[in-house]
Formats: sequence, structure tokens, C-alpha cells
Amino acid sequence: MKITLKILRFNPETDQKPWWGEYQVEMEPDDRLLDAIHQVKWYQDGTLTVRRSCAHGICGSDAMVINGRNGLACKTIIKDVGNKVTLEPLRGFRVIKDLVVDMEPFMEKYRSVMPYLINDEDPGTRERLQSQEDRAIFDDSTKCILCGCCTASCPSFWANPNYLGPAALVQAHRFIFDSRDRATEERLAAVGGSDGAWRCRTIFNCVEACPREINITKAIGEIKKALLYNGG
Amino acid sequence: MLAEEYKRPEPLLPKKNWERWFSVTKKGVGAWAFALHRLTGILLVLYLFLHFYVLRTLTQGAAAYDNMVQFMESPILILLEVGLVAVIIYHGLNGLRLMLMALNIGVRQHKIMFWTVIVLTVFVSLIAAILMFH
Ligand code: HEM
Ligand code: FES
Repeated sequence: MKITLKILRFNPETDQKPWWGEYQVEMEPDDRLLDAIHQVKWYQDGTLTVRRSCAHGICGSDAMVINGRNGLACKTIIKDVGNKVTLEPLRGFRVIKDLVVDMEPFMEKYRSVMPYLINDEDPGTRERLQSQEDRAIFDDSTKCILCGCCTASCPSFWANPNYLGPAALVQAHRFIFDSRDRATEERLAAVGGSDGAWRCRTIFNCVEACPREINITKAIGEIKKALLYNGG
Repeated sequence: MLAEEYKRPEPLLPKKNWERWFSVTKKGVGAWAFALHRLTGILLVLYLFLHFYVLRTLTQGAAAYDNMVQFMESPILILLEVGLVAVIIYHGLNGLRLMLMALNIGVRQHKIMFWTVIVLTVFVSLIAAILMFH
């Protein structure tokens, strides 16, 4: 089938402002949107800049706005988006070029919630064991691939760029509710401030956007509850 | 030249802050629920002052108050009051929905809760309209 890609282009070296480029490509209905972008980049206009690595929905580098909704180009099937597709870079981040945005502010927030296991106790010569039930508590939040679809869809983040955003909160959730972790208090302090979990207004855009189908609002709700019980 | 040295555009967002909050195109029901909640909240604050203004006629003697009450009985005012009922009921019920979700109750059922709020709001407003125009 013939499809038309309308892509919001911007090259900081030559362009004063973003402009729309239109491209026609011949695709199979079962192809992925990323294949169509490759068709454009490889055979029509090599200057089109897009970021992708795994091409299988794992690395999280090709998040973009597809027909007004955030998603991964590599996980989007052509027949699901129709023969007219509009592509824009993620909202709320600075555009580096075309569909590539600067994720550094996003990663900075990710680091601020200490996304690693903290436990000074000596486990001896064994691994730190955890029951299946305890593992299940934070299972959903382990699925995050840091693509940024959720944070870039959040009106609370749009209105206040200092807000930690759903992705960083999901990552905090992953460790706050890990029975092996010992830094719950520090982490709750990191997500409890005025730019933390309380800025979530339960709008659910993040849940609609997440390509991993994480129930982000639920994770943030659990953080809020933990904050409440811990005097945050 | 380093990438940083190039002029980068501002992030792609509506320029005005209120548009950022209220942009609901292609979003789920949660975004509508939020936008309506904020809108009704603001309307209620404005109404509160209007309410004070109306009550103020009480201090100006019986005639002034009677006058105001008569004015309030015009169909347009009654229609506005039906609207007020809808605003109050929506804000109150959706407020309950939000508080439940803040306690992490029913987060997975948020859509059905929203539609329940809407149905109840329409239902109560209709009853109010029937009673008030009767
Ligand atoms: C039945 C009574 C009410 C309930 C259950 C209720 C509940 C709530 C809740 C839970 C919120 C937080 C919304 C959020 O987290 O996004 C809220 C916000 C708000 N409420 Fe109410 N409310 C009630 C009555 C009122 C009244 C009488 C007024 C005005 C005088 C009012 C004005 C507001 C405003 C301005 C906001 C802020 C909206 C925002 O931040 O988006 N509310 N309400
Ligand atoms: S290219 Fe890795 S997630 Fe799409």
C-alpha cells in the first residue's frame, strides 16, 4: 500500500523554524512504521534524522509523536496508523534535529531518584533472595525502557518542566517497593518534594502513551500513598 | 561546531500555559476529566463571589432582596442555575473519583468511574431542571 509520511523537519544549522516534509513510500500493511522511515531516509532524503537502535521496542530510542499520539516507530504497525501518517518529535523536549530530541533533562531526573539497588548489608556468599510475591509488587515498573513517551505526554510536565515526570516516578517505584532495597527514605524524599509525585493530577495521558503498557498512574498512586504514610 | 552551539527551537508545546493544561486533542478520558474538573473548580470560585454579591442584597432591606429574587426567577437565570447544579455535581463526584485514586483505589477503573460521574451529572441536572422549571 502507498502511504504518505508527513514529518516535522528541523535542522538547526539551516532552518529558522520547523517545516513539514512530505514523502510517499510503498509499504506492506504488516511493515512497521520504522521501516517506512528507513525507506525515506535510505532512498529519498538522507538528511532525515531519526534515532533508533534495537528496532524491536527494547532500547526506547525512537519515541515520537505518531498521528498525535506518543509511541515507538518500531512497535507501530503500518496498518494500525493508516495511509496518512504525521510524525513529530516528542513534545516538551528541545529538538536536536528532525525527530531527535535532547533527552538529557529527562535522564537527569531519572538519575535524581537513584535508580539502582542500595543495600550495605553483607549478603554473605549468596545472592539477595526475594520471594515471588515481593518481586511481583514492582513487576510492572521493571518494564520501563526510558523512551520518554509518558513524560512527553504529561500536561503537568508541559506546564512545569521541573516536574520529575511519570518515567522518573516509575523508576523510583521500581526501587521503593523492592524488598531488598534499604534506601526507601532517601528515595521517598527525592520524589516527595514540590516537583515530585504530588504534581501528578491523574490525567492518565502517560498510561495511554506507554508502549510497554505500564499502569503508570497506579505506580504514582502507590508512591503517593507511601509518602502519606511516611509523612512526606 | 558542537551541537550546543546551534540555535535550538523551544520545545514543541502550546505557547500559553493554559493551553498546555487544557489541550485534550487525541488524549484519553483522563485528560477530559482533568480539564473539566479544573474548569468547574474555577467556575465554582467565581460563583462563590457572585453568591456573596447576591446575598449582599439581604443587608439592603426587604425590597432590595425581593427585587433580586424576582430577577432570579427569569428563565435564563433558572437555566444558569441548572448549569450550576451540573457544575457542582460534576466537580463533587469527580472530586470523589480523584480522592479515591489518590488513595490508590480503583485506578484501573478510572474510565468507567469517569463515565459514571458523567451519567450521574446529566441525570441529576435533568431532575434539577424538571423541578426548577416546574
Ligand atoms: C463536593 C465538594 C468538593 C469536592 C469533593 C472537591 C474535590 C476536589 C479535588 C479532589 C480537587 C483536586 C483535583 C486534582 O487533584 O487535580 C479539587 C480541586 C479544586 N476545587 Fe474542588 N471539590 C469540591 C468543592 C469545590 C468548591 C465548592 C470549589 C469552589 C469554591 C472548588 C474549587 C476547586 C478548585 C479551584 C480546584 C483546583 C482545580 C485544579 O487544580 O485543577 N471545589 N476539588
Ligand atoms: S528502536 Fe529501540 S525501541 Fe524502537
